[in-house]
Amino acid sequence: MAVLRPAGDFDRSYEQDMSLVRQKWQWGVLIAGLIMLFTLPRLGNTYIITTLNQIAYTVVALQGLNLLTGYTGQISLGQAAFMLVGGYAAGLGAKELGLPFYLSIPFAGLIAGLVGLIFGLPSLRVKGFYLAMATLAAQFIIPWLTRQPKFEAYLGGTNGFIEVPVVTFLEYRFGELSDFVYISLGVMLITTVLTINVTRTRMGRAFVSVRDNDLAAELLGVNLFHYKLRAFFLAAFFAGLAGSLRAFSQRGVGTQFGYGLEESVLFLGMLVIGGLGTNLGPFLGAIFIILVEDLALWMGATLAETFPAQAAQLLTSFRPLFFGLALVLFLIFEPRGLAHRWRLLKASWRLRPFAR
Amino acid sequence: MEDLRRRLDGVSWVDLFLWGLRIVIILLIAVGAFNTLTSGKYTITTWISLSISGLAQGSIYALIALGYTLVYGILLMINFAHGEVFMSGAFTTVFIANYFNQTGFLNTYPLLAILILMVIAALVSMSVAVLLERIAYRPLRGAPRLVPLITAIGASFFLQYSFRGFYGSGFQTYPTVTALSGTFTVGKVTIPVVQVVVFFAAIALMSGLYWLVERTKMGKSMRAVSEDKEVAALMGIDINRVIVFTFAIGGLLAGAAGVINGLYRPQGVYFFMGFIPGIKAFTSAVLGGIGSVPGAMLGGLFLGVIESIGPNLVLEGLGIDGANQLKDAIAFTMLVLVLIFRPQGILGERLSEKKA
Repeated sequence: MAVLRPAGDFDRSYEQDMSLVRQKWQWGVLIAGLIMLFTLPRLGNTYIITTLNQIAYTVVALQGLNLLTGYTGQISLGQAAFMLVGGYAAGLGAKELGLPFYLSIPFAGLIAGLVGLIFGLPSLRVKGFYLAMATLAAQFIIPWLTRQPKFEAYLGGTNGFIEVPVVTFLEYRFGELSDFVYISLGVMLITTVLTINVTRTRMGRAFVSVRDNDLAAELLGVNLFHYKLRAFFLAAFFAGLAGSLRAFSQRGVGTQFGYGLEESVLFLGMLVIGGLGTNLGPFLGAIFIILVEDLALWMGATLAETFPAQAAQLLTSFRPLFFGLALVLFLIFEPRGLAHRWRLLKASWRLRPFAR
Repeated sequence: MEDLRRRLDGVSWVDLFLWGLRIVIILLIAVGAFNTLTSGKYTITTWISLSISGLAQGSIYALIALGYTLVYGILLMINFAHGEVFMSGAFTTVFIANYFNQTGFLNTYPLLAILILMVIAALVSMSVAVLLERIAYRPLRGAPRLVPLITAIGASFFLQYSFRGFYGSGFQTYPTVTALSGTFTVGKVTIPVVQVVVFFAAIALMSGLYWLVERTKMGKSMRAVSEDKEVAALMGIDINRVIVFTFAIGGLLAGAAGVINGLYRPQGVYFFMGFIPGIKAFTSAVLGGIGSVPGAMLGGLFLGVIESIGPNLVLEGLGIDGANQLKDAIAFTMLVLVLIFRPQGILGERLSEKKA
C-alpha cells in the first residue's frame, strides 16, 4: 500500500521512517482530537455517552476481526461469541477471583483468545465459506453452553445473564457510564496502536501474504498453521477485551444482552463497509453503522407513529433491513469500503489543482 | 529403528492430532452405541420408525440442499441466502393454505390444493432466487470469493427482515390436512401417512430434477457451464440464461420443500425459519459432496436419518440428558467433522485448489 506523500517529506533516519505521526501539525491534530474525545463525555448527554461507549468497544472487536478477516483473509462468524466468552471471563474474574479491572480485562482477552484458538483449528483444513460454517459452530455452541442449567451458579443458566460488579480503582467507583467510557476509550486507543504495529511488522506482513496467496506464502517460509492460529488468537483476544468492556459497562453479561449471530454478522458488515484490511476501516464502519442504525430506529419510530397498525413490525425490522441493504449496496458499489473513499479524498486534496 | 524414525519424520504433529481426534470420535460413537444397544431400552421397531421419520425429514433437507449444490456446481459459490428462499415460499403460502382450509377446499380436494400451494410457493421462491441472483450476485461475479459470501449474508438479513416487515414476527401454523393425518401399520411398525407422502413427494421432485439435468438440452448446458464457463460460452451457450435458470430451479425446489415441510411440521413458520434448515441442507450438500446432484439427495437423507437416530443411539449411551434437544448440535458437529476429515463428501470429487 503505497502511501502518497507530498514532495519534501523525506525520511532522514530509521526512527523517522518508523514514526506513525510524521509531522508537527499531525501531532497537533492528534492531541486536539484526543482532547475532544476525552472531553466529549463530560459535555455530552446520555445518548452521546452510550453511543461513544458502544463505538469504543465495537471498534476493539472490529480491530480483532480486521486482523483475522481483513489481513489474514480468514472469515469468522463467531466474533460475538468470543465477546461473550470475554464478558464472562471478565465478570467471573472480577467476582470470583477478585481481580482488579486492569487485570480482569486482559484476563478476559486471554481466555477468549484460547477459546478462539480451538475454533480456529478448522482453518487448517478449510477456507472461505466452509471456515465461516466452522466458526458459525462457535456462535451456536458457546451461547448454548452458557444457558446450560449445570453451570447456572456461574454462567446464569436459564436466566441468560450474570451480574458484573462495578469497576473500582483506588476507592474510585466507575459506576456511571460517563466515567466508565474513559476506560473503554483507553482500551480502544491501546488496541489501535497495537493493531497498527501488528500490521506493519513481520507478523502483519505474514498475515497479508497468507491472505493474498497462501501457497506462495508457504513456499516463502510462512508457517500457515502458526500464522492462521495467531490471527485467530488475536481476533478472539480483541473480542474478549471488547466483551469485557461491554460486560462492565452494561453491568451484566449473558445471552440476554444479545451476543447472537446477528451481532457477528453485524461486525462483519461493519468491517466491510468501513474497509477490510485497513486500519481506518473499523472506526469508519463502526461509526457509520451505529449511526445509521440509530437513524433507522428513529425513522422506524417516526413511521410507527404515522402507521400505528404496523408499529411493532416497523420498529423491529427497520434496523436490520437498513443494515442488510447497506451491506449489499456497499459491496456492489464500493467494495473497498469507506476507508478507500477517504484515501481518494486525501489524494485528491493533495493533487488539488492538477487532477481529480 | 532407523526406519521407524524416518517414518515418524514424515508425520507432522497436525496429522497426529487429527488422527487422535478421529480415534476419539470413533471410540465415543462406539461406546455410546454399545451402551444404548445393550441397555435394551429401545426395541427394533423404535429404531425403524425413527429411521422412517428421519428419511421424511431428510428428504426435505435434500430438496433444499439441491439448491445449494446446483448453484455451487455452476458458480462455485455458496448461496448463503438459500434458506431465506425456502422461507419466502413457505411463509407466503401459509396464509393461502389457511385460506384454503377456511373455505374447506383443502379437505375436499387435498391433492389439488396441495399442488396449487406447491406451485404458488415454488413461484414465490423462484422469483426471490432470481432477483437475488440479478441484484446481489451478478454485479459481483468477478469479485474475490469472500465478497459474494458477505453480500449473501446481507441479502439474507434483508430478506428475513423484509418478510418480517410484511407478515409480522409471529409464528404461523399450517393447517393439518385430515387426509394425511392417519397412520398405517406394516408388521409391528406404525407409520404416519404424512411421512410417506412427504418422502415420495420429495422423491418425485428429485427424479424430475434428475431427468432435467441428465436428459434435457437445458440440463446439458447446465452441466457444460459447470464444467467450464468459457468453453461453454464458446459453444454458444448463453451463460447468464443458464445461471438464472439454475437459480430458478433451486428456488422452485426450495419453495416446494417449504410446502412439504409445512405438511410435515405445521408449526413454526416465521421469518427466521429458513436459517436452521438452510444450514442443515448445506451440511447435507457438503456431506454428499458439494456440486454433485445425487450427492445432495443422498446427503440429505443420510443427515435426516443420523439426526433422528443419533441422539438416542449415541448421546444417550454416553449419559447426556435431554439428548433429543441436541439434534441441531449433531448437524453442526457432522458439518465440522466432514469439513475436517473428508471435505469432498461422500460422492464428491476431490476439491481442487480452485474450488475449495
